[in-house]
Amino acid sequence: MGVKIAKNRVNEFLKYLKEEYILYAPVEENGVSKISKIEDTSDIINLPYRTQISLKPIFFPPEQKFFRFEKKNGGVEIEDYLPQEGDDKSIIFGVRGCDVNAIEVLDKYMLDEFEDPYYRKRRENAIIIGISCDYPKESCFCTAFGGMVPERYDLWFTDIGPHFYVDIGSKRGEKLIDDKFFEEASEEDEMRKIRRINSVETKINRKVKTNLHDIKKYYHKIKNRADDSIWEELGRKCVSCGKCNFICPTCHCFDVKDMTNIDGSAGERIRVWDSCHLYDYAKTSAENFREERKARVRYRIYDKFVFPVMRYGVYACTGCGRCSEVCPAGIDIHAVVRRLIK
Amino acid sequence: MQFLNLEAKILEILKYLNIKNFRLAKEYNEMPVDIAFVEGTPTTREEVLKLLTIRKESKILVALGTCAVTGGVPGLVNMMAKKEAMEVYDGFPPDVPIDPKPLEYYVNVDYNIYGCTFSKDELIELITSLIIGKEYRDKEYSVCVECSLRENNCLLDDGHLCLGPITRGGCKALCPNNGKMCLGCRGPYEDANIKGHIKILQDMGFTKDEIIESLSLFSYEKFKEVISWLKEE
Amino acid sequence: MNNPYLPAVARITDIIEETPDTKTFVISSPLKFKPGQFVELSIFGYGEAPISISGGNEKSIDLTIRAVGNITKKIHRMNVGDYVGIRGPFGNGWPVERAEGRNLLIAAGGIGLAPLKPVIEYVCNNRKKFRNVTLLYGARKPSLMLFKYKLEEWSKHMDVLLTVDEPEEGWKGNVGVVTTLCDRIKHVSDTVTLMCGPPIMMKYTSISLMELGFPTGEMYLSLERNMKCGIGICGHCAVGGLYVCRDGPVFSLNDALKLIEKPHEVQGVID
Repeated sequence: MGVKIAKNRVNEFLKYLKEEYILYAPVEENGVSKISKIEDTSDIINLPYRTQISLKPIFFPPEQKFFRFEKKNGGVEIEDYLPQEGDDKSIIFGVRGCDVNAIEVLDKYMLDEFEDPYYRKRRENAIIIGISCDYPKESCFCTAFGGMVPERYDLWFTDIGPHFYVDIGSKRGEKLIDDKFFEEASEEDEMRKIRRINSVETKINRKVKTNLHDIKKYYHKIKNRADDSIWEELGRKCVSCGKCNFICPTCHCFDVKDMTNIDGSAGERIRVWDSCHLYDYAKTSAENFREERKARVRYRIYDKFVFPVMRYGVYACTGCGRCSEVCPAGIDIHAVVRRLIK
Repeated sequence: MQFLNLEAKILEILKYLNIKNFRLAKEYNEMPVDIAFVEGTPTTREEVLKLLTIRKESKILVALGTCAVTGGVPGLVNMMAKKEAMEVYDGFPPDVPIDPKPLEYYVNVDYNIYGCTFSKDELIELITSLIIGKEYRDKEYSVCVECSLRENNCLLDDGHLCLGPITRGGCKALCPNNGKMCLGCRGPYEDANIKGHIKILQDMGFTKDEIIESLSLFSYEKFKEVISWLKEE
Repeated sequence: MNNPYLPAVARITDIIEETPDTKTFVISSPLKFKPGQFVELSIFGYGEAPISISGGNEKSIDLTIRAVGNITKKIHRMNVGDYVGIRGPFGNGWPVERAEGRNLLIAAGGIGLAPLKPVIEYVCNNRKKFRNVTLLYGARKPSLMLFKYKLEEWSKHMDVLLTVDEPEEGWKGNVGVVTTLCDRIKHVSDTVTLMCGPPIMMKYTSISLMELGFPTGEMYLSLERNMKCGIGICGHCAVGGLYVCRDGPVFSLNDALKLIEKPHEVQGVID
């Protein structure tokens, strides 16, 4: 049996968490909704659906410094920035299912055989408190992948009227349940929660009508369309702005470069997000292996629905719809996938 | 034409960066030099000759800013028929015997620093590269890349005629950061899908004339081709 | 916490001029490596580039580098005693063990000989483990041939077939692309082929060898991509869902042909 929390106690609960944890929650900055570090809980906004920016930048920021180097005494001294990465415990509140699933995908890339230590440090101490959506955004299609409640979370909130029903998904989550704020939920509350989730998912489904649950089947279908004329068509439309990559909660490509002072005696090595849509992305000193735009467009779609299935057995798309939302050329990933599986 | 051979403004930047051994710079206005920065473009025969001399007496010539790179705003005169110009000036225009062209039309240019105004950061990047012998390459991606990395609201979404997707990055999206649409002062990068972007703008409701006007502002050759294609379409 | 992005500082202890545009740098980096693996070479302030290991011992590794890009041009201007950074070794390396007890063909074009040199040296030191061994090497010009000073020793242990595209004075050997030598290889069946060179060389050599009946299942090629991180995260070297840095750089021809994004190196090999 789960627990519940009265809606008017949530703010107090967050303040209580803030005493011990760094708190992240949805806010609006310069007209853009995102999940940011909270100084004052009154900054938190109530959205009925996901934020415009995903969780990705919290764990994998657009620009990250690896280390500093300085040419000194005839040698080179290196100062690793990794120890400076805070390993404070954090709580991320108000996350949607698509984003929680996306972080799990990102984990597969970042914490595989080789670990990305900068990502790990930020990721491993982060507690996720998610929340069910009230209604979908235009571009949402999470139900194609299984729905809006992810498999793994620490706590999961669902609006059931005057209360949020709270599912406990982990030991870490359980520890946060303090009697001061939470009370036992009844069977009726649980039914309310289920009805609530079903009704929102039905709303999404009515619009989406795509079901990609059978990963093996759809992966094959999409894989077999590698030489389709659709890529030519999308290649003409795409302007290679990279917005879909940067906004995507699972895109993880980066470029590495050295920035120096003017005589090169000291500098920093940094990584910056990169995009597979850009001309230089697959260029070596000898050749450009994805010179044609259509090959780049195909690569991104395949790197969501085909390649990650081959490597990790999952799609790298969770149906958040952000790439469709930001694409200036109106390329809608959901529509593309629907055409590919037809 | 304004000839910049390490003018005060750049010296300021260099001071700010605390450079102690800036071995590339020679004495003020002394020729020959290692690097010549040329801003603007010749509009008289005298200035063309001056440019040719500068080229001869410098190891590296940098076209600094859009006017030097493309003919820029003065290059706009090319769009106007001579006859019209004469009407405006009621006779011959005062001392404009030649059409403004990119520097590259007259001399070999080693590096282009794009932008109106050009980015100080890029200038420093170039100077650093020259000092330490690192490759300096034109950015081969759009302003959108730098704009999205800053999590800005998209100005196209807000209905502006923004040229971000086809304009060469490197300015760190200065205009969009301040809520102003990209006018394309840095020109199209090699891979820019200009026709694709025109389609986007047309779908947004902009007319052919509005699009042509916005593409004409900085006289980029590549846009001129597209404009004539667009006019015929 | 182990940080795979942090290079180990090392010194250039020797520089060998191989050709006008290629030098071998001996780097004081005691790495255990498999033939065919690569390192990420850092020049601080300039960045990193993936470079194949062309030799080494318990104290140092050799990097044979052609001056073509930002990093490679820079290291050509560096001197003995200068500092660089090394990460790695990365990648799978050549499946040399598959060739033990069988015939071995080593086919290289241009700078592609560098990652194969550790294999050749292994063969020289362990000659009894292999049956017939042939080295097929093509360069643009005789003056651009790598490791010329080693060829005599190598030819004591294996058949060495050389060719150049453009002859120069004094060249008495074969003129033509690598494929013109393929029918001079004395062993065909039960041959393991290890191949590295420019995409076009690998493509036509693969086709020639297949026509001659070399087993395609035992042909391996090393791909060159833009490996930035070396550990399968940054994405730049991905080809058809595989990471060249982690799953490669050595792929069997059969696997390469099955990739969804068919690599340039094998495009047109089977159509």
